[in-house]
Amino acid sequence: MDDHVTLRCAEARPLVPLFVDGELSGALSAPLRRHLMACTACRAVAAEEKALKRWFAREPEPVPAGFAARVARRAFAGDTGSRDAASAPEPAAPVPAPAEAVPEDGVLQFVLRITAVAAVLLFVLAIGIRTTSLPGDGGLRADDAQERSLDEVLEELKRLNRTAADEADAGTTDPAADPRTGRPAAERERAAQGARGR
Amino acid sequence: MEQPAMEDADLVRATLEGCQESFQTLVERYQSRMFSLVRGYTRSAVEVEDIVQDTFLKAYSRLASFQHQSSFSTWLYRIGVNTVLDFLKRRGRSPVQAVEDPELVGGTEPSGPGGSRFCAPDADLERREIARVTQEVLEHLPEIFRTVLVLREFEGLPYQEIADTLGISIGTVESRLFRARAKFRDKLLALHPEFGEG
Repeated sequence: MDDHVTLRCAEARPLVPLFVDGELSGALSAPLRRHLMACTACRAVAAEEKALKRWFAREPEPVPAGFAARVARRAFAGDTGSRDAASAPEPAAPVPAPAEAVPEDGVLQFVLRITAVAAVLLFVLAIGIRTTSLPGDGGLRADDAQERSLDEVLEELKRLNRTAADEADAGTTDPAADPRTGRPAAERERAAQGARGR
Repeated sequence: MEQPAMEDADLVRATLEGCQESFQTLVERYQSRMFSLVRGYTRSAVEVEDIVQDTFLKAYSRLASFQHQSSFSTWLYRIGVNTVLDFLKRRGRSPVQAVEDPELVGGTEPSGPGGSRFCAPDADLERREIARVTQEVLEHLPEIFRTVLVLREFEGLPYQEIADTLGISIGTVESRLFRARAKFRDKLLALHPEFGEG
């Protein structure tokens, strides 16, 4: 089919770089080759493309001795290369996880750590100040009051009544004593005489 | 009897199972290409070694995420290109960025008959001098042009592999190569008019 294809210059020119690079399909290579043989101008363009390539000829780069062994050793030791925060490494399961990339901006990290420590210290200090500023309770504690059962209260009352009755039987008490204060009548009389004599 | 070389997929599998020698073999297999790739971006031998080492360390750390949807070499080239560009940005030496997306702006037509013609390097010009001039011109190119030129002209990658590495279409590869070569020619003649004729 390509024997019947004829290219014009406008069609041939864009194909020249691909032809020189070896990227042109067989179906187009033959027609282009025929055109280049017949067209001086397009042949000049092809020659210039080939001339350009000679500027890119280069000797193979020498590789330092032991480079591969060195790199493999560092890789298996966990070195992930330059700091690349955007791409976190994900090693395979049986390989030890490489060390985390150290952030390049050490100053910023240092400031952040200091700020965090200062924040914690301030928080602890604030708690301590608040605690010591609260008013004391004078040692009083509501839970010191011993709650006694009803039986205990009745028993105490009975004991007090028995004590009072025993004192009355022993005469140690004045029946005329003021029932409110228990003050003996004689004592009350002496106090009244003292008050009249003034 | 010599053992046949292991396929990349087998070496990857063995590496993930903890075999350091398998990873070393992978490095040995691709170290020359990586050195050649990075050499297209910097002249410093120390930087080239650092960047290539970083590339392999990153590849190891992400090996578990390699899905075999592309070839291992394509995957590695992708990491290499990203690593070298990141490295240069961190060192404050960002590759020349195009002010406008060159794919939105009209492309540069190659010199035709009557214009300044482009010459191949003189046969007497030493390869070292050719390499120096080429590197000098590349440093003046926008990054997206330099990258496609390096991958095509230095690494000899086919268009499809360039497309897979950079995550672009083959049509975009063709377009960028067309413009990259035109810019390379123009910049070379601007810096070294002695390499033009007429």
